[in-house]
Amino acid sequence: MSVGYQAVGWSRQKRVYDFILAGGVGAYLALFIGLSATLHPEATAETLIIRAFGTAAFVLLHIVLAIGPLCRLDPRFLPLLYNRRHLGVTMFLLAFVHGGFSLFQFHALGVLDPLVSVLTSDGSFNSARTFPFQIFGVVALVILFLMAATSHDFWLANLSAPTWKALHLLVYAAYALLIAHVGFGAMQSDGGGIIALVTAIGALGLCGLHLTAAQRESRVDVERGISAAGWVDACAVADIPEKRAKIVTLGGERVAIFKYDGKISAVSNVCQHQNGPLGEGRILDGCITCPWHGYQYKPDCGASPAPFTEKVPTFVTQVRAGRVWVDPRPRPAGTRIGPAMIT
Amino acid sequence: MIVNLRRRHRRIWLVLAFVLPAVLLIAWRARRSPPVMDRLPDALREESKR
Repeated sequence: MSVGYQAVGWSRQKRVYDFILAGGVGAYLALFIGLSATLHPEATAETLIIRAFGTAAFVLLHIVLAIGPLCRLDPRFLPLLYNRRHLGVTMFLLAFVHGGFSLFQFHALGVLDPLVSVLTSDGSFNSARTFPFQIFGVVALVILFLMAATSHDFWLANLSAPTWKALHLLVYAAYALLIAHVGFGAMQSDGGGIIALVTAIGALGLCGLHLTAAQRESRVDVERGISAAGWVDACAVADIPEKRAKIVTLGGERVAIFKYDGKISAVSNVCQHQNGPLGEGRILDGCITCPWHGYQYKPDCGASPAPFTEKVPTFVTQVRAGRVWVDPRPRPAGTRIGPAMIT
Repeated sequence: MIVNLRRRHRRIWLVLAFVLPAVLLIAWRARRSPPVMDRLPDALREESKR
């Protein structure tokens, strides 16, 4: 958590995750190069490497972008989310090898500087048929580099969460650029249309996943009415599973109402680390535990246990006739509020 | 902040749902014809190599 920076806080789970990731990428590259060399014996080693690393990065980008909505739709995908940034950095490295070999093979032997050549030698903006697809790839690679370079929590803390989030939202621009890169590049010489078909399935699949997840999320955001005394009837006590939470939206923000040991406490649903949904976590060792990266908060005060320093806003709760009532005004982060007792 | 972020995500994907198929469609329609050699029937291709 925030008490001190480590390059990577290695755990067994992270090692297993990275081992599977490295194995998967290695197997894909070996399979792609082996099959391509058999089916296209005329292809050079450089061409096979360019294609293998380019497609691997593109496939991995789809996986990275699919993890978020998949976790919203089914919590069983959550383990994939814990170290998603490792997937992102790996994807950038694969794309970098693809770009590096392309630069070497197609632009290093001319009279122009390779970097000038890649930006100027390619096609014409006046025709879709000869559109300069390499520029799309270069711009996307620059965005992916910025994201990979700032993926560590150090940058999240120092850039501030809004700036960091805004920077990392650029991944969607990078994805659109890469669709154009593939469309005006590899797809142009794809006689059978396989690349077009696979790319269209990937793009439409991702759009469908994100929009479906957004639709489901919007159902949670239905506001509840406030009583004359300023309380909101949030839910029945029986609706909350033990040591878990019910998420409700109050005043435009989500609140996680936890039930534990005969008590009810409510905190902001937003983890201070990466805005993870605390209400989808559970209470472990007496602390609310974020399902994304395991950040913990005490349910009665919203503060992380010492020596950690994160805090989330808390809410006053009451239990009346089997229902949970919440004062929708958030108290300052870390404010201790006695939990409501379930009678 | 989180509500705005969710709203922004939703809008971005709504835009992408129109933009990405449009880009692919334009790119598909702009596809170059394969080289003449690749369009020849097999018998003619063999003949052309002589």
